[in-house]
Amino acid sequence: MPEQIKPKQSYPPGNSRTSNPQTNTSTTQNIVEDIIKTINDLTDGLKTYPIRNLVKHAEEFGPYLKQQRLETNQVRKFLDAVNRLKADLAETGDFAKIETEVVLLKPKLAYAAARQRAAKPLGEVMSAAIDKVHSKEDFERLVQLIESIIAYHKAEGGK
Amino acid sequence: MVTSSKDVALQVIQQAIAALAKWSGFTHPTLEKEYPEVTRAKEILGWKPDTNVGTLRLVFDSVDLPDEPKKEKIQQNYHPLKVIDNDHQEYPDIPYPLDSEPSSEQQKAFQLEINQALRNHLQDNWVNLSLLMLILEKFGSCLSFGQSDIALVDIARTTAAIATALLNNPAEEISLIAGDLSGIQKFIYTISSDGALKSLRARSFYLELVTEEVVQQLLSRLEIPRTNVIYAGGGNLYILASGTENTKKVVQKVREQFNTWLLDEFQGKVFLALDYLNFPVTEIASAEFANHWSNATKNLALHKSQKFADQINKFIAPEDSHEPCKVCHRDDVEPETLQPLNKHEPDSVLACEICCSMFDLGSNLFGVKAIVRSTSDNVDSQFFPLSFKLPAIDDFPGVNIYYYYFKNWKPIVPESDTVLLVNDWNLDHYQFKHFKNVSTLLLGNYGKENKTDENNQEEAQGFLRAEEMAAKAQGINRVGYLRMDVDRLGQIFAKGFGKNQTLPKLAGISREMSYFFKVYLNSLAEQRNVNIPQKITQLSDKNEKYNILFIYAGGDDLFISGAWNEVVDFAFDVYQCFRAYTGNNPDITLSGGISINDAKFPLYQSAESSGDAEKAAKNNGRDRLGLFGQVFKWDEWLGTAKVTNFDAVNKNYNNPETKKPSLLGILPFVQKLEQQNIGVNYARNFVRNLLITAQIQEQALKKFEEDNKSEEALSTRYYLHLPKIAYTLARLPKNVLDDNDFRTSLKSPYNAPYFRAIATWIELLNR
Repeated sequence: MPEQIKPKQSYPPGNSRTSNPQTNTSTTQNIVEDIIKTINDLTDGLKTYPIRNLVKHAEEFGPYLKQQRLETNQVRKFLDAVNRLKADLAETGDFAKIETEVVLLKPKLAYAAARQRAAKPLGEVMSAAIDKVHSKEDFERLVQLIESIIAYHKAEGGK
Repeated sequence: MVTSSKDVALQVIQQAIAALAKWSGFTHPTLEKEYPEVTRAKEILGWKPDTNVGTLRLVFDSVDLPDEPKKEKIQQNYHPLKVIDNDHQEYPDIPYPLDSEPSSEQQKAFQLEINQALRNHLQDNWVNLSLLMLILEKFGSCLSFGQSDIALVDIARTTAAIATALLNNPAEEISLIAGDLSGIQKFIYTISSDGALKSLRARSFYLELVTEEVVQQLLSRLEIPRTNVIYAGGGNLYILASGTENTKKVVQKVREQFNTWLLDEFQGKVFLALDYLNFPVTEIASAEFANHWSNATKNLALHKSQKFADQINKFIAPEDSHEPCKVCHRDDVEPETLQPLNKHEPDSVLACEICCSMFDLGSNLFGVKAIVRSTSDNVDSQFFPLSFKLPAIDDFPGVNIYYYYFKNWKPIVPESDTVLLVNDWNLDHYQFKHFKNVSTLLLGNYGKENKTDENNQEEAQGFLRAEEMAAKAQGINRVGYLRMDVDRLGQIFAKGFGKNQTLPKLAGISREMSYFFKVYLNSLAEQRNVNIPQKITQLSDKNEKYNILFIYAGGDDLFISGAWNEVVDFAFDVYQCFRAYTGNNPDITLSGGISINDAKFPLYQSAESSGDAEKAAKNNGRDRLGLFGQVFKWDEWLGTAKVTNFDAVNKNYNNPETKKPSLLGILPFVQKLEQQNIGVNYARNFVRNLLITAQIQEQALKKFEEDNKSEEALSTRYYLHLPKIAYTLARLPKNVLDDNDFRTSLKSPYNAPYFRAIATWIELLNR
């Protein structure tokens, strides 16, 4: 995604510019637990995570990450790996070929979280989600979740 | 003393004028003793001695298509008391319906006006049928007679038609003659050449004249006056006649005559389907009539599937082929008869005689005021006439008919047979003593004139050319083509009135439709601000003449071209004006399609792509517009929708979205961004991001093509791309972001389907 170069804007923490926060819980740890609970309750893989809920969650989670001072360069290794897998899957269409790679995404996040506290919430959510990935559809939903979170994070002014 | 059909018709019309005079307190000349046919016709239609003129309710209010559940109660509307008149301008103003009955003051004022007109014109014209007809139409189309939603003019005309059909007809069988010129599309839209726009326009005008000539032939052979024409235009015609052997023979011969000529002239591209249907006269005022009307139309389908059956030998005879004409690609003319198309151009392409005459006609059509039909081929006229050479069939002699056209309304042609005055509502013009038969020709003929070329003084003042249109457009230099037509008109005619599907009603509704498409559309394009209804969503508040050209407008459809953004504006104007004009009846809607092309793009392909856009609109449920490759309901485009598809989806969620966005639809966003003037760079970025979003969305939706109603599909459609939109918005300049409405509305799932349309529109406006 080429972007314009813009002067750095920084907002004081807690200045959430979302227009319609869904709940009045000012972005707290709650949202992380919410998402993890939702994902853990899915019985039939991540693909049953309803898109509408996914988007609503991401809408809160993205700004929360921004507030935690997460920047995408801190989880770059993880994101690049996801993009690569997405490309591979598009090419072969065979989930079995990337299944092990999907599981190996988890250590990448653990490593990022160890270096930066800000990456911890994302790591927790993603771990829960990756545990639910057993098929191509599940993986597609995982990609949708990550892309939504990152888009909302960027919309919030995250780098 | 044999009663002629003209006497009978004249008597009915005189009686109608007398009713009008009575209402306005004017003393009319005495009426003759009534013919028995007139008495009978009046009896059939319920015209009693004590029937009086009154205010007129809108005929469209009674239309109710049974298979549609009624969405809303239609409010009762009334015709405003407004005479149809040019008022020293090119076209009359559009009379929008009123939501209450005209007040007694208004009625008094109108009575005075009628009184005045009768005083000025009735003196020496008591037997001038043309003039009496026009008076009736001018004043009698907004007054009722008998039933409150049947106009005086329709009752008068149909009574006259029935009375003349009953003349020398003891069996009381009536014949409804229906005709249809098919192949119009083939004839009009398959040409390719320079000046195609002009030629196209000329071709559609020419077909209008062919229809007119078929009517003329039938009337003169059947010896009936013009009052018997229920409807004629756009290649369709309906005429009432006696159901006798003679009618049968005439219809057959006229059909043969025309088709022999058409086959010769256009190699079978255009075909005249003409047939008749007999029924007892009493059924004219009953619901049975609607069935006859539909059946007459259905009979034509049979003819259309056996085109040129009478001329089959000639049709399949082998012919030598030569160098084809470069315009219409016919290859059956001798190469030496091909002429250069444009006389003012040194190396113009070679074209056949028809194409050359069409090209010339196209250049000269601008500002034509009168058309004279004559059998003489040497009338003193500035322009070359259009000729119809109908061959002899059995005992029918062949005829040569010439149509001359003039740019003033007062051509003096000694050998004139009929004079047609184009969109002319001026009573004075109809008492001109040199005219024998004169009638009004309604013609959708708006076009903006071009600037004459400095170096090319030879070329006549003409219409805007495609290149000029493109240059005048805002943003990208492109030409737009718009096609529109009324949804389910056939059904409205067949069963729109339920039990009241009578001849006067049908005559009324087709007359009102013709007025709109042939007359009032011109007015709208010429003078926008006096011709739009009060409650209208404006795309622009400009009041200049539209930079567009009507290629065809009539019947129930139109095809126009022009500067692309003005064509888009005009389409929304037409839709809203039409809805207001038809009293906002939910069963009477329009569908349209617009294509946007380069000025050099072959016209027939533009015509096809706008036709495809229109088809897509029809197939998606009608009442829609296809534009920028997207199809939405008109109110979604305009941002006035009360209910969208998302409402139904939203209801099914456990915790539904509570708020509707304040901006909903397409136009509101486009206007917001246009006003904000966000600068080219931002606009580019925004548009690009919006398009990427739309694309991702479309790809995600591909999976659900089989089942686009599943939970998953719906939430993908309305939610999946929202994060991307949030990101796109964050990249806009600060002053736009401060606009809360804009920001929150664009992020609402309600607006999910519209991104591509919004982005494309902004993109084209800012190129």
